[in-house]
Amino acid sequence: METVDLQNFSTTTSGETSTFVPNFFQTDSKLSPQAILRIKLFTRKQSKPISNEEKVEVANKLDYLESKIQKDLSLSQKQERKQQWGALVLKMMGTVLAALLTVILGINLTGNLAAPIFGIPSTWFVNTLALIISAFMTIISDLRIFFDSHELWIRHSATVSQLKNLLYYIRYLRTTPDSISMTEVDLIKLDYSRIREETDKAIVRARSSGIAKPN
Amino acid sequence: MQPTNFQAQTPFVASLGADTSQISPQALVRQRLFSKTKRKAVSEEERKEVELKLSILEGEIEADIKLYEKRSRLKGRGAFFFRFLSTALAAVITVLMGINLTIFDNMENIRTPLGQPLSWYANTIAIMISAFLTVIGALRTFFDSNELWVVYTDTVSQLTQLLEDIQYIKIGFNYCTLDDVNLLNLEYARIKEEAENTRLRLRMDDYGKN
Repeated sequence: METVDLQNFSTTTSGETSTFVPNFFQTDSKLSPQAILRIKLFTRKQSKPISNEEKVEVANKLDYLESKIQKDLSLSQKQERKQQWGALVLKMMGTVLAALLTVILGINLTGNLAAPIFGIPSTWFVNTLALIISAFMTIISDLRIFFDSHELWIRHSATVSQLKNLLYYIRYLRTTPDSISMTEVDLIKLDYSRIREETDKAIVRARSSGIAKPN
Repeated sequence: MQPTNFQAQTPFVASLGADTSQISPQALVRQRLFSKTKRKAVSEEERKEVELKLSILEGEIEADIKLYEKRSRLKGRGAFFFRFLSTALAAVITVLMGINLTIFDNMENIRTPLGQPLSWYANTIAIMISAFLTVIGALRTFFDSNELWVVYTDTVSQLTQLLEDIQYIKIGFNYCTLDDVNLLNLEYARIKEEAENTRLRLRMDDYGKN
């Protein structure tokens, strides 16, 4: 582990209280923001007794965060499945049509196959079909850029995994409810907001990159 | 928003050593709100003021979320409609221009209304669609559906996060200071201003083009 990383998550002592210095956005750090959060949450040397008022606030805030994370998790899981199907369907359609086009253009029409149908040479049907498939492929490729299913699928997968981790951290911390401080709850809130922000920004980025490409 | 000034005025140490230029304004606000090293209970008078101001702010944000969500939905549909229509029509033009219809010219059982060959009709329809595409392109630029869809999506996301920050803060009302509320209010104003400025800029761009 890098020294700079250790400095980032180590606790600083001011007087009798031990305070955390959240630093999720450290650009030169090799640790992920969630790894830093984990270390800050679970490497405390000693816990300070907290007041009853703070205990109630901690419990309420954790309840709030848990319900929000749970709701977001369901939504992200749904989105992940949706984007996965979208990515698969659009990709498969593009590939299957390209393969079909290769077969149609490469097929050698001889013998009975070359006989005219309603007085029109069979090659005309083949060429027209190839032209229509090619035009349809243009539409599919454009839809793929517009919906950007693959990139969003990856993003939602990452979000689901990170939100599941957060839920686990909350459950783990709650095994000793009396020792959870507001600083720790705030750290979880900050990380939850970071995940949400990153997901939302990825959606905006996918949409803006989709519209920037000329059609 | 100037991150250095923020830090100079408040006792937060959240972004120590971090490159704040890469942090979004909203992340900076969150760091300031939720990374306090010391918590102090506010007086009853301040608490009442905080409660009142937060409820007003919450109401405004909720109304704006509804408004921008509606706008985002409309613009999203517009962006999809214009995009799909222009791509589909371009594909139809490709087919019409590429299809070999001269093969039907010598067939006696195929008659056309004006006595013109089928390829003439295909070319004429292709020209008409091409002209229609120009109109669609102009409408697309006028409505700015694509850019505004992105802007409104971003605005809804930022406002929703801000509302969630307020809901979180409200759970520990006794420690929410007027400075916190003012910070939230400033952030709300920034989000709205950015959305409105982008909308106006896009309209000005259209005006300049025409």
